[in-house]
Order: sequence, then C-alpha cells, then structure tokens
Amino acid sequence: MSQEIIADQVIDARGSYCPGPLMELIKTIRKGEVGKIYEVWSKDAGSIRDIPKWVTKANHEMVGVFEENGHTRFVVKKVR
Amino acid sequence: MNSNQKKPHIVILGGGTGGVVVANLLGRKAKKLVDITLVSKNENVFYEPDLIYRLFDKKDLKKQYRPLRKVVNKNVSILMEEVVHLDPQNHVVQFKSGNEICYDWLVIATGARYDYESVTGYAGEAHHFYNEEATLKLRDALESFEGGNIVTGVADLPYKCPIAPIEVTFMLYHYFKRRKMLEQVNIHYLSPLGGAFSIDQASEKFEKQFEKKGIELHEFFNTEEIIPEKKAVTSLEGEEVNYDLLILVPPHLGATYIDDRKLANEQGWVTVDKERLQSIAYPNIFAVGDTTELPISKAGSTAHYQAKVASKNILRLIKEGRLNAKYNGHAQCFVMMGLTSAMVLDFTYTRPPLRLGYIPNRLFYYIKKYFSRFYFRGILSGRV
Repeated sequence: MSQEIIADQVIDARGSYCPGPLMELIKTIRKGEVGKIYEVWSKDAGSIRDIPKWVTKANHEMVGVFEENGHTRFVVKKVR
Repeated sequence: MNSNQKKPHIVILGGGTGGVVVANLLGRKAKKLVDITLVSKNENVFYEPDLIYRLFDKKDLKKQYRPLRKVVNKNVSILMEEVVHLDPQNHVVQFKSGNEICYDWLVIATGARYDYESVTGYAGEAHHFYNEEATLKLRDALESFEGGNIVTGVADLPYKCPIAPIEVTFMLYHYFKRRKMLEQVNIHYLSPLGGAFSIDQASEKFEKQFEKKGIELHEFFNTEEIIPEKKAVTSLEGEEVNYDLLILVPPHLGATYIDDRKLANEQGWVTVDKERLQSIAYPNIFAVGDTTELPISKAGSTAHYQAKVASKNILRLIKEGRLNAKYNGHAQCFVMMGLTSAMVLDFTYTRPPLRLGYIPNRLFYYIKKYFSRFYFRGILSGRV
C-alpha cells in the first residue's frame, strides 16, 4: 500500500491514551462526509487492535496502517 | 479589585469533591498567606456514588447531602453564585447574578454537565441514574417493570464514574433474580468500546460475568439515535437494539463558561498538564476532577487525589515560585458485582489495576456501601 495517500483530514491523537484515538476518529467520522479519507496518528498500543476492529464493525474501509517514527498512522475511508 | 489586596486571592470554582478538598487544604495550611473564596451554585455537597443503591431500595436521598458551610474550613469564604464566563487574560470570573470576582490563582472544579440534546430521542425516553430526579424516576420504572428487554450502557465518552453503568447492569441482574423474574428479562449492555470497559484486565473480568449471567454485550455501539415509536436505539456502526426499558448514561460536557480554546477544548474539558494539573496556557490556573481533560477516570477518587496535588502546587508556587507535586493518575473504584459483593480497581496512568482487587467479596461491598460517612468527615477535609 502506498504511503502517499492524501487524507482529507488528519487527526493528531498522539497525546491521547486508549480509547482516546479511536474516540476522536469516531467523533470525526460521525460528522464527516461519505468518501472522505481520515488519518489518525496514535502512539497508544491499544489503537492497533481497536481502530481496525472498529472500522470493520462500522463497515468503513481501512485503507492502511503505517508505522512512523514513534507513532502509527491509521488511514480510514468513510464509505457509508 | 484585587490589586488593593495584600494577600494573593485564590478562587476555587465548584463545590464538589475536588473544589471542597482544595478549599479545606488551603484554608488549613495557608490562612495567613492567602485569601480563599469557594464559588458554588449549590448550597449542599451531594454524595453521588450512593445513587446506584437508591435504584434498588426505598430510601430517600437526605443522607447524601451536607450543607457546604458545614464541610468547608472556616477560613474559606463561600460565594453562592453560578459562573457564566471566565476571562483568563484579565483574571476575572463573571456570575449569572451580574457580579464578578477577580483572582490571582484559580482552581476550576466545576465538574461535568449532561447533554441530553446531543442524542436524538434521548429526552423523555431514556432513563439514567446520574442525578437525584432521574434516579428516583428509574427506581419507579424498575418497580413496575413486568419483563422484556432492558438495555443499559453509555451514550458517549467521556462520562463520570466509568464503572457505574457496569455495576448497575450486574445489580439489575441480581435485582431481577431476587424478584424471580430472570426468565422474563433480557439484559443488554451497549459499550462504545471494543469491550465492556477501557482497561483490558477489568474488561475481561466483566465480560466473563456478562457471559455467565446471560447479559448480551454490544461492542462498538456508539449511540446514534433513539426512536421512541420503534422502542429502538441505533448505533453509528449500523446496529439496532430494541428495548422495553432503556437506561443510558447521557453524554457529558465540561465547562460551558470557557470560550478560550487555549484553556478548554470544544466540549469544555479543561486542558492541564497531566501531572502538575496546571493549565498549559495560563500558569495561574489549575483544574481538578471531572472538568479536566485528563486521560483518567472521571471519579470522586481521582478528584480527591488531584485536589491534594493542585493545592500543594499552588502553595509552593506562592511561597517559593516553583512547584513539585505530581499526580500519577491514581484512581480507586469500588465496583458492585451484585447487590452484596464488590471488587476494587486501583490503578494509575501507568500501572494496571492490582490483581487482589479482582476478587469480589463482602468486605469491599461494605466499604463502598458505608463510604459516604467517611466521605463527609474524612475525604472532604483533605486530611486523608
């Protein structure tokens, strides 16, 4: 998967602890438009399990999970 | 106003656990050094944790109140006012009455408020147990409940006392068992998270109990709408659950009187350093308790521990121009696992709950059940 995906909105949740990053994503997606791409930055280990699981449950698209220096980028497309 | 005063003026906003403990510690330790004013819109301190017991007994709420003046140190002035605006640039707090007060140091401890409007259909349809009126209304609804789907859970994060809806779910099970109605009652628990609770080890424990008791857990259920005509609650994730009785913790918001986004976020949660409890933007402002954006449970125990740290830091700053007390995220929650047994979760920012606390027993139940006596005499004084 290319790391050059350009997100419509970046949610920098590196200062948040579990379940903060997931809840910030949910809050943003709730208000967002279908088709938009959202990127969450998280330093919390729990996000690796929670965010993809939530994206699947909510029937959105997990575009990719990328490890960066000290944090993880979760790229999610709102599809409904 | 304050420029003519010799002593620094500390203003504490909020007459709940955090505000009262800060007031008492400062009143006792710094009476000659500072002037202290506690601002509250309520004449009484109310002990909220006992509300869950009122759902299942016939007692009134009188013993959960104490007049503020009786629990606050005499060196502290009490002002009965409702805050409507805070101007952190000019150190001024404005009240609904039109009055205002200036401060040199400010402690924000005004707790959380409930936002019933943010979930369509909530008002008039969903029950909860987060204030006196709603608790008594739910008690009546439980008494007259004849069977069907009871749906409990949480509408949105964050909320106060994160363990309370799980406790009430377990208590409901035992309540209906006692009434020999378990065959007529299906209990569902709605969790916005990928498990019953935010701490993995505790979550596993609760999920096992849910399974054993036949309580259906709906993970990743972020409430979207309540449809009264269908008696259904829907989630952002696309799930729909039917209810005969809906018990949903309402969404919470922080301080409505702060429009400075450097001090509080859009939901009104005050942003402070997670250890020093000092505002990052305004060093003369501290915040404790439910009103903070801290990554820890909004609970009486955390407000209590934070109040001790904040008051130490303010005093040290006034005396020596530096601070050194740190809050480590300590939280302690007694968890009702039935009507007469409880376990305890004791954890910090970095330490998971102690294993010993996971064993439900009568002793923890009695500690929780009778804690209010110790709360008014001991906890609020700040001596413990």
